[in-house]
Amino acid sequence: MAYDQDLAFVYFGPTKIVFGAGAARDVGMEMTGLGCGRALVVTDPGVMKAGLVEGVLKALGDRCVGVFSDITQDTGVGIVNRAAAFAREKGADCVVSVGGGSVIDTGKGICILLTEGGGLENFEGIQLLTRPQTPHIVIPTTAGTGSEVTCIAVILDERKGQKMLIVENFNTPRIAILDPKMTEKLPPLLTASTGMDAITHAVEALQSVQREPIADGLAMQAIRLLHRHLPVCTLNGTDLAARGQAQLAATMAGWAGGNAMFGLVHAMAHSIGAIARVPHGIANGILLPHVMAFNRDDAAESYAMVAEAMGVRERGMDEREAADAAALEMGSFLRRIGHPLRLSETGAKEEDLVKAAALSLSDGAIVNNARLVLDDEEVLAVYRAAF
Amino acid sequence: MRDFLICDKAKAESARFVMSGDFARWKQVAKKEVDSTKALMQGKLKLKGDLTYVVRNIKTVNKVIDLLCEIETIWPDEA
Repeated sequence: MAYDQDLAFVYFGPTKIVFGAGAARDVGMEMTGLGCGRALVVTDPGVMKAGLVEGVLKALGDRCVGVFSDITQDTGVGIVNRAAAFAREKGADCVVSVGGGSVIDTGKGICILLTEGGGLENFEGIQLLTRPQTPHIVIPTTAGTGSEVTCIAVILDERKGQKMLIVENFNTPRIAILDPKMTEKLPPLLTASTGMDAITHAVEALQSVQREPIADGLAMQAIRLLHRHLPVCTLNGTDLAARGQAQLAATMAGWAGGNAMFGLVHAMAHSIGAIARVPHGIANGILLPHVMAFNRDDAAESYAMVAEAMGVRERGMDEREAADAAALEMGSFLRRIGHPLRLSETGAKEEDLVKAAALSLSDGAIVNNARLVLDDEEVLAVYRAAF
Repeated sequence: MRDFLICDKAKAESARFVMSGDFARWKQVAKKEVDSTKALMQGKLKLKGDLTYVVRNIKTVNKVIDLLCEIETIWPDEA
């Protein structure tokens, strides 16, 4: 393991984890433990329709002062501002998010506005806040985003037509309740794509220029668990043991990525998502093996670790050979879990790729990529390989 | 890069993005003891404003910081 002699880093992961089948029922007790008594529940129409919020509301009883569910796939500043106004009107003193990444990030935005006031458009930036924000309890309904343990919120700024990044240690969720039963009804494709989102977090953390040993350890274990359990989850969604391991892996990958940060896969996935509305997890999954091939010479050691975690590093392989084996296995893994293999399957058009390549160069994730990328033609070539 | 400008706080804060931090942190950056990108993500420096603009111009931003590092400096706490 080679780390620079001058290795210096900050590891930040303050979120309490409550894990177990049925753990969502503990939300009321956990909330009381935080000293809160008036929760705004934040969710989306799909989660409501799946019946996943009822148990949470029952557990909260009269400690729930309102439910905000008007959230779309890519949440925006307008949604967060409306939700915060609703929370203020109800006198909420904490937020309980029940959903995937968009819901959780909406919850993060509400927490800032409940503490600081104003509109979310004033909070674009990195580490600007100077005090702890409104307590936030997260109950994920997917095993992928990792947002339940990170200080990062990605919110669409509708006026500019681009994603806004808010990175605030003071706004990291206080508690994540990982209840495998909350992911039980997730259909196979969503299970596969959210799982690939988590694997991508782990792989990108390992290759990041900000990688460090704690994040590396979490990323390795996340890849091991997902490689073993994600195929089971896609075949039999009711296997709660496998669902639970996938959830824990997604959270570990969130910690890894939230600290070591991400790379080119995320820059490209954000961009093709913005241009052609390709869902984030699916874009990550399709692009991952192609970016691994592109980065291989600059990230051979990291990808050799990925090969180890997936059990495909054979005796005698040097790092480059192991890195190639990892990229190859990633492609095979996509097939095994029934994940789309090409961007052309997602509705993206070839002309979208040029715009997305240019946009990728202004995405924050790209600065942490192991291979320095300054030319949009290089990015375009990777998109075309994945098309 | 076209120019440097020394200005007051109010004018500086009207810029498209503002990087800020304690004296001790900037000293670490200027002495190349801390990478500015890592320092931002780790909360050692703060960034307000348009991150996409920063990233799109990251070569220039890094160049400005490199140039800052080259300026011969008398540090108040070392004088």
